[in-house]
Amino acid sequence: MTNVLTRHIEQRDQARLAVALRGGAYEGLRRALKLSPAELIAEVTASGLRGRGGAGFPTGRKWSFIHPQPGQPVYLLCNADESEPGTFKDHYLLKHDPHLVLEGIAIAAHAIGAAKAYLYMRGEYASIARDVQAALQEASAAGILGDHCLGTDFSLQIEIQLGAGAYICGEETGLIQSLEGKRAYPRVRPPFPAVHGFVDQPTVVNNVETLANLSYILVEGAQAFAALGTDRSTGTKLICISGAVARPGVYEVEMGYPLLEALRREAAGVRLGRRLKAIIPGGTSVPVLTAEEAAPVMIDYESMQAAGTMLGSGGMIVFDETADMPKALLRIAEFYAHESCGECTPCREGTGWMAWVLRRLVAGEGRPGDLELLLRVGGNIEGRTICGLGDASVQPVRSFLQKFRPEFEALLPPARDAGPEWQRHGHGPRTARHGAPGDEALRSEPVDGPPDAAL
Amino acid sequence: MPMVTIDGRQIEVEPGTSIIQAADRLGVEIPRFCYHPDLRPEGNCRMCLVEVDGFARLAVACATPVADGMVVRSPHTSPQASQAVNGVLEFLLVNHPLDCPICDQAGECSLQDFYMHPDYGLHKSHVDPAEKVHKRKRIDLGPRIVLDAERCVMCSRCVRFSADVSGKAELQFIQRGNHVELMAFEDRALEDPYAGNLADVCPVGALTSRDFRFKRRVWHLEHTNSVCAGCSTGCNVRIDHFQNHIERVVPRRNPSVNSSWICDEGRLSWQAAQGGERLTQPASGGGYPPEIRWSEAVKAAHELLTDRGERPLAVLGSASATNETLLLLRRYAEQAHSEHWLDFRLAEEVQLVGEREDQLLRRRDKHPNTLGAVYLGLAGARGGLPAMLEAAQTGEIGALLLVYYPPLVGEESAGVAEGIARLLANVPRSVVLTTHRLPYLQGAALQLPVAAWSEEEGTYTNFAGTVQVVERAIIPPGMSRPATAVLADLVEHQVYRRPDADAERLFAELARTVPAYQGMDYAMLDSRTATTYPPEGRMHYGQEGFAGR
Amino acid sequence: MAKKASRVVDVRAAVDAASGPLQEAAGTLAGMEVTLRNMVRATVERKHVTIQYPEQRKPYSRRFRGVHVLTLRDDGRLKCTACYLCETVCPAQCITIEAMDVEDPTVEKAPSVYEIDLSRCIFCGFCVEACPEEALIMSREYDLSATSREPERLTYGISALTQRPEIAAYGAGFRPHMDYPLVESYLPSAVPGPDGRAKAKK
Repeated sequence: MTNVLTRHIEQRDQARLAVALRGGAYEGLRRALKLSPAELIAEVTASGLRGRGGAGFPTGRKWSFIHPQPGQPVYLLCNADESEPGTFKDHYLLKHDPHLVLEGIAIAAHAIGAAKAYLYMRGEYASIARDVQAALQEASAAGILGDHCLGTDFSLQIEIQLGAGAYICGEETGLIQSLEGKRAYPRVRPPFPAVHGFVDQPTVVNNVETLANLSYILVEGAQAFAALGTDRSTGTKLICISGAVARPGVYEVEMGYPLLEALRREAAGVRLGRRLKAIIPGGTSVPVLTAEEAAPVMIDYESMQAAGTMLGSGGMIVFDETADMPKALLRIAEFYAHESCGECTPCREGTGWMAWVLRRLVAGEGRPGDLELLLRVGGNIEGRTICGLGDASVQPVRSFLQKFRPEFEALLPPARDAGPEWQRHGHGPRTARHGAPGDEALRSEPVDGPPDAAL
Repeated sequence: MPMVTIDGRQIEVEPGTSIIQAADRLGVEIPRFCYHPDLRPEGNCRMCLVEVDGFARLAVACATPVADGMVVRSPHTSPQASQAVNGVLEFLLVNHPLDCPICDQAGECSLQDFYMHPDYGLHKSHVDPAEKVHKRKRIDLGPRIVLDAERCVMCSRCVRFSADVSGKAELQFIQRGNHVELMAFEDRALEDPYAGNLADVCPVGALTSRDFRFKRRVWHLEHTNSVCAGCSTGCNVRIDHFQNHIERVVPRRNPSVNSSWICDEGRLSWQAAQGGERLTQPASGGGYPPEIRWSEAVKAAHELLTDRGERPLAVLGSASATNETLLLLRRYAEQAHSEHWLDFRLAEEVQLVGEREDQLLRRRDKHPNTLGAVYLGLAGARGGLPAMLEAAQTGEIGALLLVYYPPLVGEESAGVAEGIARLLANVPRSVVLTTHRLPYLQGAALQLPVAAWSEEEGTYTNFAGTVQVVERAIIPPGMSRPATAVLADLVEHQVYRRPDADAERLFAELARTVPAYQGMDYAMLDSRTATTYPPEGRMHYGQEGFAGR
Repeated sequence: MAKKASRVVDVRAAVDAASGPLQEAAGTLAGMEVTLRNMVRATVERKHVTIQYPEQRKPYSRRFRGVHVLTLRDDGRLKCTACYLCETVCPAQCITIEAMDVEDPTVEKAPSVYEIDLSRCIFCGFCVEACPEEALIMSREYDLSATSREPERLTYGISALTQRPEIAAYGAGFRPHMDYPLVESYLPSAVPGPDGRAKAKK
């Protein structure tokens, strides 16, 4: 298998410039600077590179939207606010090969004509931010970055900015607001960041992994990159496998690699020899797949879409047969209720409401009609919010309820307890859920804690 | 220009107009919380969702610019949009307290009105009141505003007003998700001189005005359009009154004058007009009975002003009087039997008239009609109060007719007050038309009570020359009468023919005779066309049932 | 059209013909028939038609709409939250309320003035029906009189509407939710007795 992103990842001291240069770092930038921005955009478009942050939007096209007025500054923002539950690939890249990311930032900045780039990292990554800062200083001191990169006319100032720990800062416009020093409330689009972005100037926001691919594309050529993976999903993908597997971690696989094969070969299969129950293939905001559904799925955008889910950020969360799906869903719903920024109404009130209903379901205080209520609330959030967080919070609820409905129905009180609506409120009959066998098994989980700990 | 179809009705609008603006112009009511015509759109409440042909999702009408040929369906006609808006309303009420009876906003609350709307409201609640998220209640935000965080719908109108309009940026949201709540930093008192507008922009009962709080349920109020008389800006206001008592003054939207705003001083200026010690009957100094009837008073005034020998009559008007009052005052002066000296200046009004006190609305000239007086030719070559005082001290003035309104914002400057007192002391034959019993007017031979602001109809000409109508909201106290009526009486005594004292006819005369008002029509003046926001009678369903009160 | 010829009837002649001392005595007795019958019943059978008001009073319906009562909370404060709904609904416009802020931050507002001008009140009970909190109910007090028209005589304020001894004596009257028991402490000092009459608390 060809490694695009992890070629030097195991190289000792790869974060040091000298070591990285020996491995061929900044060779891509050198070549990129020989190209004009238009040629560079054409090259990246030809490579078929798509955004790795979750949406999979073609990177070359995103860049081509930048048409600044004469004299107008353009900004490149590198999104390292990796907050999607189950995702930790950017952390891995930034920690082990920061120069690969910095090089990608420089190449992209050249393509869009940005003289200033920000690397926005989540607050929890403070420790690696220091290392990235050191790498940046080293590269700047060596004349690779900063003024007159590699002796050319191209100058680029890169600044590292730490967030304060909010999921919403990973959203494109939320990140821009946060970087401007404002409350990270996503903006209504249009206008799009490509026109009115950071400080109201044309702005491109790219994911760390997306930018890390650029070096390879420039060094090996767009054709070599396009040859990897499938027709429409080119290159490789970092997947973060967590949950009930024997060897959780970040793995690089070629696009089009079978999902279960990756689980088996890379992550050494479901731990303790248990059977696979379900897998969330792209961070918690994509629909879950049952074991049966996951069997034919490949790791690429199209195959995931055909299976009714998304590749997303590549954060794969694995559930084994002992997993309590309502509990897992409650954990996910509570995450979104906690992380909803509170700007627009459906997400602010809806995520909290869904979490509330799930909480009482899991506590054995469910009321008849609660499952329908969850779906109805989800339906009222979906497609009506400013940013994707609203939709993201609904996907797991809908897919869990659809695919594991019996488990949820078991939490509901028997139908005969259903009285008139006003009597039911607040007095849902308690069932003996806490003593259920499934719970026992869950609590006596011998290693690594319960499977939902990874969430 | 783009042509857009909303609910089957077409309108052509300028490029860049949002759907909601086009709908407002068509009269199609699209529900909204966060949209405000004078604030930048934020699109966070999601109440203005509309169906647009060719769009995969519902669009927010406030932040979606129209395109040519766009076909839009509002919640009134689109089941999809109606269902979505109903869902948003349900979300808004998940954590909103259901205590409308004790909420001061009830009756003019958008949430209440939208919930009661048959096209997208009236859902069945699925939430147990015990499950609601509770937030802080009754937070003191200074002398103007009280915050109830629990009633907030997080539309951020106040935050945007504070940040973008008044520039104080004193409000922000804290917390996340359904725990988001509005807060002033450390709950400090707001220092904004425009803080009162926060209660106006708030569509629900989260920010309420301390002055109006609990005073009157809004459905009892009667509304009268007027113009603030606090300074030369001439902000459009609506006077809300009940049983001949003003309860509050709120701004009326007029994009060319005050947008949707008014300063706190202007908002409370009615208290100066109504408060203090009002002069309620004709009162005289030496020689006349202490309190006399109107017929006697006018006769006495006439005698005072005419039996002055050969010395001239001085007439000192006021920049706080309406154009109509000043017109009659001028006519009275011109018809005086000998030479007259007509002016209105007490101090530096004319120099200050356009000068700003801050960047938003307030101006340093605290008179509403300085330019009107100038247009009427009252600023003569001989000068105002200081020159008159000088002449009076040498005995050159035979009699004085003074029209005086105390300023509604701030105090009269000590210099002017003293000047008036000395002028009255030096001219024994003096008649003062005024609203209040004031120490520096006590030297007048005769004081006649006239109607204050909000008690008479007329027009003001603001600093920019915009002529605006003030309507009569309440009846003047005691025996006070509009100054136009008193002056008409005086003119009648002079020429044995009573002139029109009706504002509309007087203005017609102004339009005929004063070049600045050439061709203007009373019925078409700005103040009649300016609107309240939200438009009156459209959002306030509560009023209709009690209109008779 | 020809006019019909009119016929003149001499009424006086007819009356004179039918009248005489006997007929007049019979007529008087017939007119007093009810009175005389009740006089006999009262004196012989001791069955009285009238009662000795005001010493004696008749029991009235539990739903009688008499003078209003402002009910109290457990801690003695008024239940009224000064929502003005009664004032709004009052067709006689005889209710005046003024609200005030209170110390307790959990309480929105309370009435500082609550007056009912009973000389204008038409006892329709709309105010009681409008009250969302059963803060205003009616008593069975019906004898309401004053010796002058001074407004204060029949304008009852908060103290009169909560502390009049008559409330205890007459007991509670109309409330919108008659099916639910009235919480005793709501009334300042009255307990409705089993016979529907009220008796004062010790």
